[in-house]
Amino acid sequence: MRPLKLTLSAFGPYAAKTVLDLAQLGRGGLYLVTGDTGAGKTTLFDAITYALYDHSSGGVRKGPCSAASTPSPAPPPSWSWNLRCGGSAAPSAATRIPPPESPGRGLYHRKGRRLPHLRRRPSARHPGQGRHRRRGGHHRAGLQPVLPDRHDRQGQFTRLLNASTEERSKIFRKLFRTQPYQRLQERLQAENAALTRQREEQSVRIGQLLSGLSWAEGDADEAVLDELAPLCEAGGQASPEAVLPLLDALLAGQEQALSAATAARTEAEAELDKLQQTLGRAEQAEKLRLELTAAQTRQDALRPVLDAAEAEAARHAGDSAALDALAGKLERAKSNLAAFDGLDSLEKKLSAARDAAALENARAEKRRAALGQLDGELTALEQSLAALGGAEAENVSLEARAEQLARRETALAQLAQSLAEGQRRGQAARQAQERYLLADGAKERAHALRDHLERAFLNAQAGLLAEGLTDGTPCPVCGSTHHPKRAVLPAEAPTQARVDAARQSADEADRAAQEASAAAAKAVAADREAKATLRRDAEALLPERFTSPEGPVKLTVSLLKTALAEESEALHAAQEALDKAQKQNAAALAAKARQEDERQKKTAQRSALEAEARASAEEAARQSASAKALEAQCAEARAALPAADREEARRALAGLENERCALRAGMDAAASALARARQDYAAAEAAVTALTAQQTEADEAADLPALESQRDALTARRTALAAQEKALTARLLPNRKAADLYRQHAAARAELERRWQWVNALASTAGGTLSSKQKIRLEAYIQMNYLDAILVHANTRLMQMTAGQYELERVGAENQRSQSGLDLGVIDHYNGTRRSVKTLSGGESFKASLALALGLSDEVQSAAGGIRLDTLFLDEGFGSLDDESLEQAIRVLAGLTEGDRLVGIISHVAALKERIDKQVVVKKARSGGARWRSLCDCFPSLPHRLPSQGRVFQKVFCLLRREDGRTSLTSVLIFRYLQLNAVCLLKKSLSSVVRGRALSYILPRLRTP
Amino acid sequence: MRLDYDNRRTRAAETPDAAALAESKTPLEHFAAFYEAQNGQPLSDEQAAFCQSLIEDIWKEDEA
Repeated sequence: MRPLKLTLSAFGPYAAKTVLDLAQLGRGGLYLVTGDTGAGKTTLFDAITYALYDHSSGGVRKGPCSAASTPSPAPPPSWSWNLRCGGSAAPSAATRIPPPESPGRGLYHRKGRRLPHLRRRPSARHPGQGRHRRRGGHHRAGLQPVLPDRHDRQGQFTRLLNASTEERSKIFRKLFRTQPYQRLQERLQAENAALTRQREEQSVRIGQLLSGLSWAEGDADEAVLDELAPLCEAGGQASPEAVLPLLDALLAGQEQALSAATAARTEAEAELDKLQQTLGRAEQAEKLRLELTAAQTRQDALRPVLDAAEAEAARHAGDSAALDALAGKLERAKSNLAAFDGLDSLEKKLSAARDAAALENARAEKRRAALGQLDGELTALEQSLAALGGAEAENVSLEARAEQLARRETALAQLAQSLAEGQRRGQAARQAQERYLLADGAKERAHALRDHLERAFLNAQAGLLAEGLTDGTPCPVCGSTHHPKRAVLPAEAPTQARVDAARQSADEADRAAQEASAAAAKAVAADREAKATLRRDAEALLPERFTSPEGPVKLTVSLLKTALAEESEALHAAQEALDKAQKQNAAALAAKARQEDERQKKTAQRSALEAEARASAEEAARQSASAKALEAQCAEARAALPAADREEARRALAGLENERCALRAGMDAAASALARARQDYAAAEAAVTALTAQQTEADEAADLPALESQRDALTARRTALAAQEKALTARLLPNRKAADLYRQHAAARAELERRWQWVNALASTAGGTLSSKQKIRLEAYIQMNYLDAILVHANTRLMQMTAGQYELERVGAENQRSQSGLDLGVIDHYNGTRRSVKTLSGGESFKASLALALGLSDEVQSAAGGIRLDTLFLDEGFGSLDDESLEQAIRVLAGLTEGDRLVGIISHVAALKERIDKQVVVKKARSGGARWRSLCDCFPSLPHRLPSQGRVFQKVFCLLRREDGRTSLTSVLIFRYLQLNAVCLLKKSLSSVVRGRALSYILPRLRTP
Repeated sequence: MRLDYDNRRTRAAETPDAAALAESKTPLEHFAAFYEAQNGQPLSDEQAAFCQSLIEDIWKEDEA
């Protein structure tokens, strides 16, 4: 991890926002943070520590509450930095902002808890960076402040040097990750504790088992019991080897006692059984005797009962004959009762027959009435039918009239047609005559035109001839050569053609006139003929109108039309009347048909009804006859009845029944009493016989009371023995179980003991608690290995710094009480003594702790998977060194810068200012706050990884080129390089030209102090 | 003027890779060595097996 850029705001003396570009310092080498006392050198370091770890570098310093020293209103306190981690390419960044200041509370949590505002964000351009950081354990560890205190307060710097084993162990645990070993120790100790607890529990359990044993005097040998009792008292402490044989002896004794008791009890029981049998037999005989006496008594008592029963039976012997007579009487009484029933049924039948006859008579009467009504209706129908008789004939005449009317209608239509035809022909004849007159007119006009034109033409011929006449030439007509008066050509002389056309049209007009004349003649003839036809027709059709005694009436169109209209109207009226009459007639016909149907139906009904009425009358007669017959039967039956009425007959029957029942009950009771008496007597007799027989077999009576007292004694003995046996068993069984358990637990305990021993050895070894040994824990032992390695590294430096005087070594503890293994001692080679590091002087302590810190950093880096130390800060401490020591220390520090390691030294020791080229100079400003500048920007183009010799050369060479007035600075630098044997290098590695230029620059300056 | 000591001890050039050597040992081997040094007798098989199981547990937790 290397800081690249530090931004401070309101932090300590840095009131305004201050940006420290630490990247300028390069990736390796020494740099110095220097400046006035109190200007804020350590504050820069604190800022880095705060940003990273949330507390200042030294415990003594306070947090950024020192911002109170900034008088002006400042931007809110915040620190951010960019840093580069390990070998990773991308920088990380973080900003820390303290919570807003509230009056009465400190700005900062004094315990230095990590602030909630801390934001660590991976660079946006490298999103994988954050994950990497989180995962890598050594990076996390790398963020811990691991170096010893870097403050120059007395003694603090040497804390690591003088730290106790425990403190140093804590530091090493973080650095070398020896935590698992510590956990191993803890686990071993926990296991040991668990085993110890188990042991104790088991002891308690064994003690309980032993104290649970029970015995009584005489259960075993006195000696065994005497020996066992104290062991039981001892409980878990008693050794199983001692306890087990005693336990076995006790069990054997108890078992023996138990078997003896059991045998005695068995014997007593057998004896008791035998006695019980004897006693049982005696009791049986006694019982038999008593029973015989009872049986004899009973037999004697039964004898008179039997005799009485026999007498009673004899008394009832004649009763069966009386019973038979009674049965006969009973039969007769029953038949009497039945005769009444027969009479009842006959009477019932009679009344039914009478009812039926009356019913049938009523029905027949009703039907006859219906028949009469039907006859009336039929007569009415006949009359109505007769009235409708002429309907068919009228129908025929009506049809004939309809036909006549139709014919007349047709004739009228024809006449109307003929009239129209006549009118049309008359019209045509008139038109033809007009056309003829027109054509004749046209013919006249055409003739006139033709004549005119011919005349004009002939007139014009002279004019034409005269035109060609000249004087001197003879006239073709007259032959005169002299023409005094020539004919003049009229103005309108028609041409030949025109004359011809006039002639032709005159001819056409003639033809047209002729045609028109013919047509007119024809039309007139047709007209005349039509009129004649019309006249004939009209006269034929309507003679009453067109013929009269005075001769034929003049036939005019209007007359005809009027007549036709009147006739049509009359015709329509006649047709309508006819229609009506036809409809009426049709209705009459339909009614007639309906009535005819009805008549037929009713006729049929009537015949049916007649038959029914007849049947009813017959049925009524039959029922009356049967009623009469039944009446006769009833009278006969009533006459034959034995008793006056039914109740009397029933009473007689009941009396007879009672008599018979009483008689039979008496007989039965006597018979059963006899049988029972005989049976009882026989049973008593048999019992006496049997008991007498047994009696003879039974022994003579024994002495019962003696036997019983003997039995009681035996029972008491048996009970006592059983109680003894039970008590023995109650002791033996738990003892046996306890013995088994004890054996098991003893075995388990032996096993546990063994395990505890070796686990305890492991735990005490690992925990460093072995007695009579140095108290070295396992972790400390592992750390010792690291410490040895650190000391190797540290000693190479310490020897250098102390000119071979001192060497650090790891020593054992001064006592065996505290944890040891990581304690340090020092070997003074000057006088060969070994002593504690606490005896070193202040300067020596600084050297030793610096060497130790550096050795630690070397070892941490070289340890596989260890922490990478990119940056080292040394805060003061150089003030306690003399010049030579300082020289040695700086030499050692310069040697540190091998590789990518940046070593920052915070100091105002003048010698350091002169020797270290990269410097951050912090100035105290009066207005408050601090300024800083970095001197390393003198060499912006310096590649930072050159071999040391080449680098020196490069720097010098740059100085040569950049000689631009910064003489004071360059002279300091030159001086320093000369101190570092630059001249020697220049001599060796530069080309002659360059070396010449360099030497010519440097050598004159060598003389200046 | 200074008198320097020839130091045989430092000349004996202690191997700086002692730590590397230490690293190459397994935790059990470390513990076994420690146990033997402290108790004068090596770990028994039982003890070794028990420690091995604990070590596996712990180191696995540590990695997780």
